[in-house]
Order: sequence, then C-alpha cells, then structure tokens
Amino acid sequence: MVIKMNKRDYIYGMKVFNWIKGGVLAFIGTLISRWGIGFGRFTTNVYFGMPIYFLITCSGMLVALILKIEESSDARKTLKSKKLEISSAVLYVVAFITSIVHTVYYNLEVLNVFLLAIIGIVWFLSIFYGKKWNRKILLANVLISLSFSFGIIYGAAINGSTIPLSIFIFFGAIFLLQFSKDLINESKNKEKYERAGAISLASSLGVEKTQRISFVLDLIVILLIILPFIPNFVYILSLIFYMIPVTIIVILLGIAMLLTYKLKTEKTYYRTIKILLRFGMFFLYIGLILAYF
Amino acid sequence: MTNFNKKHITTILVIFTLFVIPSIISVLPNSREIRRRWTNDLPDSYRNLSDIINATMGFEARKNTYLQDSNQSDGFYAQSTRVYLNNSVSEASFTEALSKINNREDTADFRMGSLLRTMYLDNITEVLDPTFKQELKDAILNFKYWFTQNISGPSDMIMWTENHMILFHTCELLAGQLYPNETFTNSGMNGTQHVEHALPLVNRWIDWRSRFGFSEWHSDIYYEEDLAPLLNLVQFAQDKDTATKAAMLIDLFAFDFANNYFKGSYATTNGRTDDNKKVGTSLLDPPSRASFAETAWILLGVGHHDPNAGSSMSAVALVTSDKYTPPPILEAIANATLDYNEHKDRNGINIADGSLYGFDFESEDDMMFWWPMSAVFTGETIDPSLNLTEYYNLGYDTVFNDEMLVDLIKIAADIYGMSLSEVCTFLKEATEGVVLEEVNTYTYRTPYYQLSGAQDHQKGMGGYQEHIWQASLDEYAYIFTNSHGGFRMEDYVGGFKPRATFHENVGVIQYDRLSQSLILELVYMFLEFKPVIQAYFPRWAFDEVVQQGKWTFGSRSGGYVALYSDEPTYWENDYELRSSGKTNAFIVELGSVDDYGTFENFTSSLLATRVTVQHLAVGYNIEYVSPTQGLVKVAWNGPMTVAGVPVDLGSYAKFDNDFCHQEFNTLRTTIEYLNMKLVLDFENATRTYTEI
Repeated sequence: MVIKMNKRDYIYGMKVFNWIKGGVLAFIGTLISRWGIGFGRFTTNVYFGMPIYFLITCSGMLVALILKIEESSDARKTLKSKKLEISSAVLYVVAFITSIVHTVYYNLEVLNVFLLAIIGIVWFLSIFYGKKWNRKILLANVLISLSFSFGIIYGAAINGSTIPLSIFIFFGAIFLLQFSKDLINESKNKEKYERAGAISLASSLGVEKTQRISFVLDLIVILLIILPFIPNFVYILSLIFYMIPVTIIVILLGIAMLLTYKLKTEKTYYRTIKILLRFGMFFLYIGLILAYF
Repeated sequence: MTNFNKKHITTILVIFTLFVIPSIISVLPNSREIRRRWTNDLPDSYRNLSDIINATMGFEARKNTYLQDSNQSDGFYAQSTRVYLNNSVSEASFTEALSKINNREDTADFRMGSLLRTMYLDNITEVLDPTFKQELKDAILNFKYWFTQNISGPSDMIMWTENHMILFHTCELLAGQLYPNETFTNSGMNGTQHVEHALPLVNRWIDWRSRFGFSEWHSDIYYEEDLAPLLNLVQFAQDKDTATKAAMLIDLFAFDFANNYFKGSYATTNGRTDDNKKVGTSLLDPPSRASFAETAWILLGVGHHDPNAGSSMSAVALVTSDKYTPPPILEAIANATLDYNEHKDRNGINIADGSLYGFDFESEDDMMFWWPMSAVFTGETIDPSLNLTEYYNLGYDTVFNDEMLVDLIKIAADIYGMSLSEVCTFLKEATEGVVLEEVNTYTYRTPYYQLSGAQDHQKGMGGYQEHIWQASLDEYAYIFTNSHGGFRMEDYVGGFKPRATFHENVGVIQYDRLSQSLILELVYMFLEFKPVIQAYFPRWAFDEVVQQGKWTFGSRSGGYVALYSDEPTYWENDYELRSSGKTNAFIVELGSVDDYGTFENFTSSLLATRVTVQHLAVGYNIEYVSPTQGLVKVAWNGPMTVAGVPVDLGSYAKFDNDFCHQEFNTLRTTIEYLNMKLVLDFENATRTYTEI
C-alpha cells in the first residue's frame, strides 16, 4: 500500500466529527429509552454515557485509521501504527473503566459493560487480524459506521437491559446511511485506492455495483425511518416533530438515490450525493432528538 | 532497551498513574469527615417559651383574655369583637375590606364573612352608625356569592378552593338569612332564594369534610379560613342541623390540634403552607405561627398567646360565638399527649378512586368536588374544567392559576398529537402532582421531639404548597427537606415530592422522579426551579449543631435530631443545607437525653451506624441500622420494614390513635379518654359529650 499520509491526512483520517456523533448518538439512545427510569439517573447516564462513548468512538476511528495507513517495513511507519494502537487502547481502556465505575457506583444493569467489552473485542480482532486482510478498507468502513452508530444502543443499554425496538431500527438506519455514504466515497476514491494497491468494494465489485448497493441501502434507510409511522409499532413521543425531519430526509435520500440510480460517475455527482446523505444523517439526528424531546 | 519498549513502559506508567492517583485520593481523609460544630447561647425569652406553652387557664379564661386583647386591636377582624362588646368600631378599619368586597377582588370572601358577623352582632348591640351600617348592607346586597350568579359580572374571586368554597356558601347563607326579603343586586334573587341556594351547598361541603377529611390537609394557613365560616354557621345558621354539624367539624379541628401541636407549634406535615410559615432566618426573623395559632390556644391551651394578635379571623369568630364551647375531652387529650402520642389520619381520595365514592368527571357538581382538590389539569378533569370555565365566563387565571398554563397544555397537545386529556395524563407529574389527593399522615411525639410526615405521598410528583415532613425539637428548632420547585413559586415548600416513610423516631426520605418530557423540563427551567434539594436546618435555633461525614446533628433542650444526606451537602446560609441535583436520600433519626445521656453519645452512636444507599433505576434501596429501631429497610417501591416488620404506610383510617379509631368515609366519630366520651354523628347531626 502506498497511501502517503501527512499530519493533515491523519487528522482527517481520525474523523473527529464522528467522535462527536458517537457521543450524540449515545445521548439519543439514552433519550429514547428514558421512560420508566428516574430523571436523576437519566441525567447521570447522559453525563457519563456521552463522554464514554465519545472515547469509544475515538478509539474506533483510530482502529479504522490503522487499517487505512500504509503497512510497511519502514520502522518509522510501523511506529506510527503502534502509536495509534496504543492511543486507541488507552482511549478504550479509559472509557471501559469509566463505564465500570459508572455501572458499579450507580448500580446499573451490566449490559452496557458487556456491550463495550464486545466492542473492545471487535477492535482487538480488527487490529490484529484485519491488517492482514486484503479487504481492510471495507472493514475500516464497517468499523467507522459501527463505532459511532452503536452509540445509540449503548446509550439505551445504560438505562437498562430492556432496549426498545425503536433503538434497533434507528441503529440500522444510521449504520446503513453512513455505510452508504462511505460506499459512495469509495466509488469516488476508487482510483486513488487502486493506485495504492488497496482493495475496496468499489474496486472488487465495480463502481456500478457499489452504487447499486448504496441505492439499496438508502432505500432500506427510508423504509426503516418510516416504520415508526405504523400505529402502535414503536413509541414516538411527538410524531409531528418526527415527521417533519423525516420528510426532509426522504426527499434528500430520494434525490441521492435518483443520482445514484443514474450511475453517474462524475465527481460532481459523488460530491452532491455525499452532501445529500450527510444532510440526511443530520436531519435524522435532529428528528430523533425532537421526536423524543 | 529499545525506543519501542521505552514507549511501552511509558504508556504502562501513564495508565498505572491514572489508577494510583485516584486510589491515593480515595484513602486520604475526606474533608467531609471533618467534624464541624456551631453553638448558640439562646436568650431566655426563647428558652421560656416552653413554660408559656403549658400555662393553661381554661377555655373561658383564655377566651376572655383574647377578647380583651382583641378589643384593643384596630384590625378589621377585631371590629366584630368591639361590636360584640358593645364598643364603637373604627370605621377606617373597614376601608380596605369594603374596597375588596365592592371590587370583588380575590379573598373578598374572607372579609365578607367577618362583615356578616359584625352585622349579626350589631343587630343585638346596635353600635354601628346607621349610615355606615347602610354602607355595609349595600356591600352585602351587591356581592357576588357564587360563580353561577350573573356570569357577565367581572370577578377576580377564586371561589372553589376548599376554604373559599365554605366561605362563599356560608356568606351567601348568612346574607340571605339577614335580608330574606331584600333583592340582591348581582343575582336578582331575594334573601330567601339565596338561603335555598346556599344551604344544600353548605351541607354538601360539610358532608364531604366529615367523610373524607380536608384536602388541604393540616393547612396552617387555610384551616383559619375554614374555622371562621364554620363558627359563623354555629352562631348564626338558622338550620339547627347545619349549625350542629359545623360545631362538630370545629371539634375535629381541635382534635387535630391536640394531636399535632408540639411545644407551641403546629409541627406537622401540611397540604398547603408557605415559606414564611416554615422558614426563619434568625431569632429576630423566626417562622410565623400558624394562622389559627390564637384559636388553637383558646380552644385547647396549646401554643401560646400573643397579646398583639387580636385580629385573627377565626379567633375573633370563636370568642364572639357564645354557642360554641369545645368539649373538655379535647383539652384533656391535648394535655395527656404532651409526653407521648402516636397519631395517624387520612384525608382525601385519589382521582382514580372517584367512582368508588360516587364522583364522576362530567357535571358541575362533580367539578365542585374535584376543583377544591386543585384537580383542574388532570386527564380526567381538564375538558370539563375548561367547559365550565367558558360556560360561566370565569377567568382562566382564577381556575387554572395562570392562563399561560392552559396555552402551554394546548401547545403540548398539538406538538404531541394528543388530546388535551391525553397530554394532561402524559404530563401528570405536573398536572396531577398539584392535586391534593389521598394523604396518610403520621405523627409521633415524645417529650423531646415530634416527627410528622405524609407517608409515601405522591412520590416524584411536582407540588404546589405541600410540606411533606418535619422533625421538631421545639417551636423553632425543627428540620425538613424540600426539592426546589412547585407551581406556587415558593422556595421551601411545594417542590417535587419525595417518597417519605416514617416509623416512630425514624424517617427515610428519598427524592427522585421519573423521566418525562424535556419540554416540561424547559418549562421548569423557565419557572426557575432550581436543581437542588434543600434541608432546612436553622443553626440559629439549636443549642448545638454538629456536622460530620454525611450526618448533621442538632440538639435543643435535651432533644436530638440527626439528618443523613447521601449526596454531599453545603451550607447555602445559616439555615439551609443544600445538595446539588434532583435526587438524594435522607435519613432522619430523633433521640433525647433520656435515650443517650449526652449529645456526644447521640452523635457517636449515629456515626457508628451502618447506612447502605444503593441507586435504583428510580429512587434508592436503603438499609439503615438505627440505634433505636434496628434494621430499617425501604426502597422506592414496596414496603418499609423495621426490624423485619412491615410499617403501615397507608391507607389509614380517618383517625387512628389511643383516643379514636374511625374508618375512612364513615360519618360517626367517637373520641374517648378516661371517663369522657365525645360522639359526633354527622348522619343524624347529633353532638354528644358525656362524662361517666
């Protein structure tokens, strides 16, 4: 692999914005599942849950970055990779220990710790085995999507072990939407990856197929976010506040799908699709917060 | 060693340090464990209060004392005394009252009740100037006595709280009796028609109180407004049964005072009170006495008499009512319980139980049962309340406290896509929290202290004016807790209600509430509800206050109180301990020099106890080994157990103590002590006192 990364690339590769998204999603998970628990515990869970998951997302982004940087016998680059591994491990350990303290002190159900442990195992396996996998870019993309979207499940888990169905629906929507965006990104950067010798989904399946997958994923996302409108299916506090952002999301994703369906490969379209999906994600967050406010 | 290994070792060292530092901090002596101590040299005037309290002179002597003091007062209510004693009145004292009455301002009914008494008494003594008397008569004839009469007329008067309701009904009855053939200008009815309208309403109110007690339970403000009209009925109602039943309710008030007064103070939980009744900042600015303090003193000799308090509405009514004398058994009980008493009672019903007692949520009559409980915003009552308000052109502010709240509910209904009823049910923390539903109160007294509280009452709900518990060592040296908030905007009462549970000298008070709409939380922020829990602990009123660890101790005249706070606390000022956040668990234990010998022994015993406070999804699970009671266990739900035995947290009987046991929703009260027996039969309107 010959992707050359300077300091700016590293910062970009760490996807700082995703760290915040992870914390916000943990908040949303706690918000959605707060019914039946004390307001004091809810606020405590928000205070602890958001930073914990912020750190988890940081550590996940570093794992994804490790998979993306050049694997080389060059000792300097090896050292960079090791630095990232240690940083990721430290962030994860701090988050995990804080979560144990949070759980023990406030007598929480232990599910949230188990979930973080599972994440830790996934991170570990990704570092120690994923680096040798020839589809590590795909794995990195999965990790990026997973590392912050899982925050919504973690947020719900700190409230209790009975996780509402809506949490899984919204997790699915967020994960798939992010993954779809990353597939578009892969298509956009296919040549760059190929020059680097990396195997992405776009290079193995081809741009058209990758875009079709993105199209299908967007369609699934739309289906998932309109599921709550089925009466008595999942609990939404304010359907009106949910409906307005969801309408915007459907329009945005609809345009993105239309552009994807046309299989345009000009970079302008990729950029437009990415922006549409990014705004779709933004409105989904807004919708979830407002719907359960 | 390679660079690589050095880095690894550095990392390990960093992590290790991160663990070591908190560990070292945790074993260092905690600043909260430091013992802090405050002492006071309280003046003799304060020390001697207890001597005054026990100075009993007998009902007639106290009545005459008050009459003489009242005769010297220029207050409006005291003018009835002057007429009664055949002295000229101060006409200037009527100015403010007449203005309120003629402008139909809120609380005009308080003045009208006294005005009518003055007029009735003047029919005997004839001291009022005829011109002035005509002015008073005009005010009576022009007054609006009920909201159904002349709905186009302006009015800011609140008529439907429990106390206002009996005031208005009584005023209408007495005014009608006084001028049977005159036409009342507001209603167009004559006096006889007003009597026919008012009498059933008076009896309905008396019937509800005799069956269900008082929704405004143990109110140190509003019992005053109940006592005055009842005394008017006793003295002036032409219907004998009504007068007798009114006298019986006054007996029950006196019985309540006997069971809850402690060292000069109505030291009990209250359904409605306010800050100035509960909070004193210093000996120069102590909490004010109960509004009926003089009445309680005249009736039973409890509390103490202030010669400058000669214009108390109910006390004046009492001393100018020749037809009411308290049965001696009540004062005997007040004296007999000075050293020990355990008293339980129940007041009110839950909205959900309405159908069990024959109340629905549709008719005007139904609403007249629910509105006095402040039940206007609940899921069941919001629609009929709005209908009634609109039909009779009532001011939204008078029914709903603030029209803005109605608008907010309507906005919330639109936001959530719910009906008004559904949104009120959803927001029940606020809409039902203010409702004065069933309350089971418990009072435990020894010579040194009294602990009183509302057992497990509306936990986690927002309040209005409630005062859930207090532990008292004397009139000023008492403590209580409050979670700041409440729609009355008081700072120390009416906040979010805890799960408070009590057994003899021990209480466990947990504060928490269920998560709910964050829009409601924003409303709370807008209303400036502070995210703190307060413990009123007036250091100025105690001989000594000691603080160590999570415990704060106070001693006063051989009585000791200890308050444990699970969350860290800080002194906001000389009288208030605070913890941050809206959750906390408190334990209160009372003791005395008889139990522990010294205050030092008391504090060391409590500091040595085991307290385990475990957080739950909502509330706490608390285990506390009391030095006197053994293992006390209680959680947010479920029973409280003491030494393995469940504590009765309710529902209680209407009255349950050594002198009386009466089941709730029954109409016959039998109070017995030694050779004395008082039977109050509301069904047959008979009041029988016997000494065997």
